[in-house]
Amino acid sequence: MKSHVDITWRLGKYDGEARFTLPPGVTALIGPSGAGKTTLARLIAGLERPNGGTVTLNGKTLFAADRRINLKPEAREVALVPQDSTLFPHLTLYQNITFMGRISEADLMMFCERAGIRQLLDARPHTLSGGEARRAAIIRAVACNPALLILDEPLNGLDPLRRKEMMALIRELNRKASLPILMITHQTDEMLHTADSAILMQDMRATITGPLEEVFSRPETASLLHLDDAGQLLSAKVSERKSGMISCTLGPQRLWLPDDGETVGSLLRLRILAHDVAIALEHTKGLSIVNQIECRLVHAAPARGGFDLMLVPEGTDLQLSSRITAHSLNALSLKEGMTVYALIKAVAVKELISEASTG
Amino acid sequence: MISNFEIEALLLSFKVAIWATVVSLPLAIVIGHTMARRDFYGKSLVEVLVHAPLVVPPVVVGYLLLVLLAPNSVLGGWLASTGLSPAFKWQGAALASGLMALPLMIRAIRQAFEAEPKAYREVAATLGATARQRFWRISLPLAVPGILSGVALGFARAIGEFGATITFAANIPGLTQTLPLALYSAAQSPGGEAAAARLALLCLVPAFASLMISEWLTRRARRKRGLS
Repeated sequence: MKSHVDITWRLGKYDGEARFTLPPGVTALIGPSGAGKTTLARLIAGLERPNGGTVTLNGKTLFAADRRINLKPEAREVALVPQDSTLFPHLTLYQNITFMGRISEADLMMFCERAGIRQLLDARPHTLSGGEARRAAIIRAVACNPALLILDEPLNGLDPLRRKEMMALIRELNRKASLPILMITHQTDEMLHTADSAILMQDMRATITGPLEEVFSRPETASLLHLDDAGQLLSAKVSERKSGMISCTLGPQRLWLPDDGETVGSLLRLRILAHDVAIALEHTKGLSIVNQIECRLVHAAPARGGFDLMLVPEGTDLQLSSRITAHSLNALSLKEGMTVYALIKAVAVKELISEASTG
Repeated sequence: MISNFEIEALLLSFKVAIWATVVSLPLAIVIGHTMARRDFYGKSLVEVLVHAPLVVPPVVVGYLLLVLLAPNSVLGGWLASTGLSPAFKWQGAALASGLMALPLMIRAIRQAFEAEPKAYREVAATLGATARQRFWRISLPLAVPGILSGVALGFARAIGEFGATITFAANIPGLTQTLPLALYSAAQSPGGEAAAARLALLCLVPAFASLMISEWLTRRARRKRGLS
């Protein structure tokens, strides 16, 4: 059951186009302010009308210009949570979340509990904090059992702790309710911590799309999102816990990182920045660095302050990158195709997401 | 003190004003909602017609009603044949004062609908609420403070209505003689000064009371939503 968006639009003096397939996980719609992200969300929800193209959700046609199909928003099963939450002010929180509720009371209470709004159900919206209202608006949308949930900048204006909670909540809702989520954001870290896939949007065009690792490693992405620190994303499974560290499998090799209480078998998303990876020509003793990953040097490209090396750990199809100076490149006589060792300090590995493996 | 005749005028005034308001209210909500939400061909003309009673002399409104609905007119003749002719009856007074109250009610209610952020309806739609559900469960409850103040304004206007009522329903004691009409008669008759003063007071009380009640209800509704 495919979900697909292929539309063009003209609103005011702006022309736009979007073309992508919507996977079942959490998808980040990312781009700078004014790129048209909210407009695209409104087009999918049926609050604006595209000029041409089609929108399909789980095989159901929501919009098809050539067949003159344009379902009303209420018939689309696309729940939109706008930036300012818009809880209905004349209803209590409970009345808000059961406004069009279509899920069981038990499930609803489970989600309320998880979102930390269970004690607030009798409150009026104006007495809630911004974060509480945001979470309540999301639960209200989930309670309608939609086929797609669109969140417009759900993390805006939340303090760091609340942001972390919200990112976890979004992933959990996606998994527990098997609800595809399209999350609008303009911040890279929100995307990295939450999304499985990404759609890049700039100047009313949304055409670069795919799994997060793939989109993130594309050169256009770095310039579009103004990424200063190049680096790679890795998904790896926790295989072992030993002396205050855990190890993840990278094919036949191991990557060690500090033990933060992750369970063995869980799936981690890791980010390793290029300037945290040093290069050695052979396996070296007498180093504090525990990770020495045998890699093939695939490509060396000039980058700010030197060169970015693209490395593929032996026995995997993963990627690492390393930023070194031109001096080091020459001193080690690095050439494409060589085997090298990537030296990565365990503490330099950033853990973005940890979750139970789904098999 | 207050004579039976004055009590009768007071009760009749209430009956007329309550009926005028109750019957006008659904009409005012429908028109106010339509004017707030829809653009249609001839909207300005409807706007002028709806607001006309605010600027046209009330006597003219009463006269037009008379021309339209008097027993010797076409429409009035037909109504009279079915026994429903409103002229020279309390129903006529209610019709005349309701017509005069309508524009005030429509204005207040329309503003209430216009003040509702569009985002509420949009979100409700994406949650699956149909246009009908959005009206009954979002727009109408949110407009309640405005509707209440419209009702109070309309009621105060209806209970004080004079010109259109006396022209269309005439000044028949016990039948169509509301407080302002009784006051007019008392002021006209020699030795009626005391009665006129009492009637004037009786006119002021419900007018002020209805405004104060509406103010209180509006505040309460706003407080519940955290608006003040």
